[in-house]
Amino acid sequence: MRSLKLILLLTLISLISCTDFLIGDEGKLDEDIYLTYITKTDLELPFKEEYYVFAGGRTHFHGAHHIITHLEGQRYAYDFSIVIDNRSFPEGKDPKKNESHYGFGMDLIAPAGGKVISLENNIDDNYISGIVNSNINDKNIAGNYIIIDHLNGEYSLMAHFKKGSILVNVGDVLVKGQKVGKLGNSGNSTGPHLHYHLQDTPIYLNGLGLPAQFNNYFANGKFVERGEPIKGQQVIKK
Amino acid sequence: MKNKILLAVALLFFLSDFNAQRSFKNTFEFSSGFNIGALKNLEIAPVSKYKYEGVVYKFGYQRNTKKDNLFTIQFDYLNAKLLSEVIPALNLDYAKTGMQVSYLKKTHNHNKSTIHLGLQSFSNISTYKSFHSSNQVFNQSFGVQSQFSYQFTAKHFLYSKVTVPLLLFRVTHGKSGIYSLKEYQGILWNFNYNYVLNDSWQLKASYDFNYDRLRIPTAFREVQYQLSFGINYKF
Repeated sequence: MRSLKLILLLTLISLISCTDFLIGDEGKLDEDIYLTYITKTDLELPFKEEYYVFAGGRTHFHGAHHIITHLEGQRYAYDFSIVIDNRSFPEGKDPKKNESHYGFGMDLIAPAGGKVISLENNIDDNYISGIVNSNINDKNIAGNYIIIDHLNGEYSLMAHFKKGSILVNVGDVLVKGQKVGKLGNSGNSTGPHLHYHLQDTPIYLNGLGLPAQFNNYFANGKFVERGEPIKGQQVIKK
Repeated sequence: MKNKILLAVALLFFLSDFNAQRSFKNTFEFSSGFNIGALKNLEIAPVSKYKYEGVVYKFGYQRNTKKDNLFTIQFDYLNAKLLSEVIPALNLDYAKTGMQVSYLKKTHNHNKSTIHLGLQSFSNISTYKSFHSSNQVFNQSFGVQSQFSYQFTAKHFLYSKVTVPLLLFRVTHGKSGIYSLKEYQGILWNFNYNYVLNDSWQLKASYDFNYDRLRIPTAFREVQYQLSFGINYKF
């Protein structure tokens, strides 16, 4: 009986002591990125007007994309749209229509120089704002999009463009601030907005998501030389 | 008053003697204990290891068939806070509710030891909660289970139960999938000591070790150590 107790005790101790081995090292790189990553690309906000940050920031509360729903490239993604007087559409307008929203059809610009490596420009905007079209699936959740290779291991993905509005082609070399298309409501989008994120591979929504720090913008009227917009802020380029 | 107490005691003795003549086929179990765990879910957060501790509650029912096969159903509930030493800003509330159903056939019975073999179904919902939002993950696994029991004396029993899940069906906020042993590996080990108080009541001390590992392609791993104490009622 005594030897049995000893065996049990040793088993328990050995199981508890091997927790680190059982949990493994996966995720250490994700932690490093979270804590220390500095964006290499000289990014500026991809629009000229004042936008509201619907998702952005380092906590689960601020960064809606922290909890990954579709592939991990979008871990640090931002959702931007135009909000005036706490509304994304004027009073009296039908919110179910895309055209009612302030942001719909607004020009979007390249956040930095780079080469367009893939795009989609032919997906219908969601017919009713607030309801995703039935043909949207894992392969087209970004709707109309472009991926820009910044030639330094960082790739920008801009998503949910208005159907047919993208002005650039695969292979085009962009300069910062160049018009690339118009804000829309295509793909897995519950209202007209721009989804922007930075990732470490050229693969659609895949690879590790990277924190995107923007230069020279105002957040709630206060100048930010370099920073990450946070949910709830109104942001505009300098 | 004294007579009433004597009458009640006599009645209890009678009932206990009456019960002793019967063959008990059903058991209700309740136990509560302490859980120490660690978790990684890169879908939920870029954290390589969360630690957590919390109280676990278990409630179950077991039926012995005429051929001494075992049908068991058990519910458990755990509530804890996921803590990261590296990124405390991403700490989360965590709750896990599970239901295990198993049917084991007696395959060996020698003197004081018995072995049962069979199948087990394990369903659980994990809830990750932060501020005003919460995310649920549903897991349903099917596996093989083996139970070894040994009776030291009339009052002392030991049970050891091992479950190896073979197939997992998992639903998260964004996707669902079925995973075989290639992507999913796990083990559940339960070690149980029972002390018989009388024909109807038993005390029990139980140790559980649970491990799950999944690559989808983001990693999920969880390890749990649970020490619990409870009571069984046979009827």
